[in-house]
Amino acid sequence: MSDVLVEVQDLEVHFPIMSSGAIRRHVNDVRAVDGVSFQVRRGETLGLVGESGCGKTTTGLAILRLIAPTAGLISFDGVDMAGLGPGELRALRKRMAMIFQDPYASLDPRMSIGKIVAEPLEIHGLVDSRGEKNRRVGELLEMVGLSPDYRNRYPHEFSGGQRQRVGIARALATEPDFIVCDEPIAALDVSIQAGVMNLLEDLQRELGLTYLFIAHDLSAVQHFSDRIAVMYLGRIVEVADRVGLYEQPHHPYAEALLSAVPVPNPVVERSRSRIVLEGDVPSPIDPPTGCNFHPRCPKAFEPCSDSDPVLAIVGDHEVACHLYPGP
Amino acid sequence: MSDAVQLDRLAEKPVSRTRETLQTLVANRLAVAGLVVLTLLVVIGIFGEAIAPYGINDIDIANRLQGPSGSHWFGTDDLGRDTLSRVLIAARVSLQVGFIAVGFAIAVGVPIGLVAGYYRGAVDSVLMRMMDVLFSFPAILLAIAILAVLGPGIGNAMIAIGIVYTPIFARITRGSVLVVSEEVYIRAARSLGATDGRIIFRHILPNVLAPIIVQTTLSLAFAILSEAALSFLGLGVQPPNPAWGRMLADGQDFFQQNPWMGIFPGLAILVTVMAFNFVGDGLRDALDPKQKSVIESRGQSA
Amino acid sequence: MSDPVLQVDNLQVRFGTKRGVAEVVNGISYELREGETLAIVGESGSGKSVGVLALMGLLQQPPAAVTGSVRYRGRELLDSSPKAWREIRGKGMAMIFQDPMTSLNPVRTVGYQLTEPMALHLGIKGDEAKQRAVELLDMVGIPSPDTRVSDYPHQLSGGMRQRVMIVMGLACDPDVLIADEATTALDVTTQAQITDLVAGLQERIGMAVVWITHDLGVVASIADRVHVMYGGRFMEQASVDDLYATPSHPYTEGLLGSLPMPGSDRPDKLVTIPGLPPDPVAMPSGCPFAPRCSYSDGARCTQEVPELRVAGDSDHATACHYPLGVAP
Repeated sequence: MSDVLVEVQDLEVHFPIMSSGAIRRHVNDVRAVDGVSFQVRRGETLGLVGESGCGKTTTGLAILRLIAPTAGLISFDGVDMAGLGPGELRALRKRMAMIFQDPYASLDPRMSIGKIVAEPLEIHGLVDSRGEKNRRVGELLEMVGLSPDYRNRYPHEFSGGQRQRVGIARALATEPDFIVCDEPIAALDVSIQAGVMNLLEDLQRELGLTYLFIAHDLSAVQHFSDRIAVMYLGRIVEVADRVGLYEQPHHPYAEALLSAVPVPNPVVERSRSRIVLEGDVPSPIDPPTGCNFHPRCPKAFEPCSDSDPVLAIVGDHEVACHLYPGP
Repeated sequence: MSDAVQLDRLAEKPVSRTRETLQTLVANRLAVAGLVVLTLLVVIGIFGEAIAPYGINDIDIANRLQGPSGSHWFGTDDLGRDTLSRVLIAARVSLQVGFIAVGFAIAVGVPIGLVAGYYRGAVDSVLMRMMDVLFSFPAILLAIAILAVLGPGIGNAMIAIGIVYTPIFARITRGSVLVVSEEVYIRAARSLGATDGRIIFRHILPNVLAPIIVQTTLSLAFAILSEAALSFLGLGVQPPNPAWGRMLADGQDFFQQNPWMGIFPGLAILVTVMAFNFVGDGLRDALDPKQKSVIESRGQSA
Repeated sequence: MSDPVLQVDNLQVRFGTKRGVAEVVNGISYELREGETLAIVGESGSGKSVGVLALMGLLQQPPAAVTGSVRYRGRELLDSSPKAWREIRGKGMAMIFQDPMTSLNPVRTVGYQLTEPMALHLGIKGDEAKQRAVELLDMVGIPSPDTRVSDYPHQLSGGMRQRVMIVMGLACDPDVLIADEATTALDVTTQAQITDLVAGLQERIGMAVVWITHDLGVVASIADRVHVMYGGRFMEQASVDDLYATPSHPYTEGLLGSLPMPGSDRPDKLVTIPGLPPDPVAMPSGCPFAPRCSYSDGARCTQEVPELRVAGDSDHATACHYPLGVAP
């Protein structure tokens, strides 16, 4: 059994922009994901971090085929997902799941939480009797720290943190191998975030899960992930393990990103100098020529505006930067 | 356990959206009044003959064109028939036509809206253009045209009115489906491997019911008015069966001699339509998603 | 030391709701001095935003009922007429909000929205106002300000819109800026730009800032003093260094412990605070935090509301019957 569970190669997701009017022509593309490659190894947590518009959520959706990729290869446990028919794809969905960002929107308001958690069991015919279904639902609710007595309650009766737990229980129902966590704690209060993160960690240990952890909160990603991939405007700029990225970021954007995160320690904050980037993130409709980051990069030099840097192995990091041409 | 504190927060019984909606609805007095009237109407519709003091064809020329009196509460018509009895029995016709016509419109319009809104693209364009064609005709003209083809009669009137109201249900359903199908929980269902059918019927349909329900009550009101109009023109229910619209028309001929002949059927139409409207307005308020449930609003930040 | 620019005394805000009276702000008092940055930290439901809306007279009364005292430069604000409020808002005290898209009028150009307060408060109009608007845009680092001044809000990015909001707030050189979750919705690199910007402006024009946030990282990087708010009350207040180094309230300790810290050492588990914030309509008796507090004695804590008391050091106060690190 290979070490790699999910493999993504040169993934592109472009959304066409059509002109308005009677005859709609394809005038341009939103290049949300513009050539992304990485691997997720069995049992690990790969953090995918970046700011708004970098394409991290789109990448997660594309891996689960909730959005159709425009180009590139996605394979799960060695199987190329593009070649699957609808029935095979549905069967594969048992092994992968998603946890969504918004606990207030990701649960059908008209279904009781018991029904919400039971739905994957019904879709895949995993339970034979009602009794078994109830038992399994109770089990799942307990696993996420909710009382099985709540099964007949409706989502709006619960807090954000509890709803997120329901979403987690739903994701676990089919005993998946792989879970894409799309900003699972961003919408929660600070004192609740810790509880949900601890839960996700515990579950990973108990059930041997593999996570793709998508977030913009660098502190959370750092705490939670084994390896981290940093994205900017549709591309990956650096991949490293969590310690390596924190102690020695190579790519100037990764450096600036880490620098911008305020440390909850006033003494440290006062004594450190911050890299403050100028300007704003450019639009994914009209990305800059060459390296996407070069207009804002404090270390840009000649080749940066001409050619796209390729993600290359530099020591134990992967970096896409002309400063690190690689082997 | 971290959720122990929450336990005392939950209401005693699970509070489904339906229960909340009903609670809000009964707090609205006009809506309740409307419901009472409608219930009364349904009872009259079912037991009309038993309640009515006279038959619909008890002709009594000697007592024709009388105003309200002890023996004839609503007076008599040009053939001496008791107006009250005819109004009561005509209720059944109105309700029948209303419910069956609207039932037809829902049975055809809602699925069209569901399919158009969910699949979009070419399917949506074709279906909605068809609906637009129907929609662009003034309702009564369209009904008359259909009846011209099918011939007059109560059954055909139901079909005609049903066809007339199909587009509005299609449109309303489609609009809601467009919004709901973008919701995250739909994407979540897809991520679980749900088929389109399951998504449409288990997730989308229950969440688009609210505007359909409101429209139903309003359309029922209009359907009854349409029936009245058609029978006024002689195209719906045929004599001697009474229908409010028909009775209005007859009353018009004899207005000088006995205005009461037309007033009471007119009042019946008015009261019925108003009742449907009050209930419809009450339902719209109760189902309004912007009006957060009391429990939900507790979680809002201060 | 100079007189405080802003003085809040026992501010209380209650709302009438269908379910009963919601006690959202329950007696908070603080002072703001010239040029200082005060952070009010709390989660959703703590009353922090309502508290500053009351400060600015932005709450509709009824359904809100605001009592207590708010003094700006010695002048009582809470009983002011609408006319008096209009004079102070924008000129003496300004406010910026979380979502710049909904706080900016989408159908008016940026330039119009900048020059409006100028005309109102400073009597500056026409070309002079427009010139000043361009200067202000430049001051906050918006590129090509002379063309941007004619743009509409939707044509600008989130970061730029937030900067426009800041500059709208600053157009008339206020003494006090209230930033209500002003960087919460922004990317972290944009947030860094904005906090830098505000700090720089503070130095330049000597403005005091009340920064409302839930982000303890932001607080560490910008605040001089911090007040921790929970259940409509202040649980702890201290200088920023004291608060992070020696938190004495269990809630503060819990909040700090629940943060993932960047760095190589990875704590096994984050500290969690069980339970949920209190329901303003049904505030528990005694300390609002007692139901979730692992140090609660179950008796005094649930019966008697602890007063804010200084614990030794004159600047550091805690509202707790058993403050941490202090012998009972």
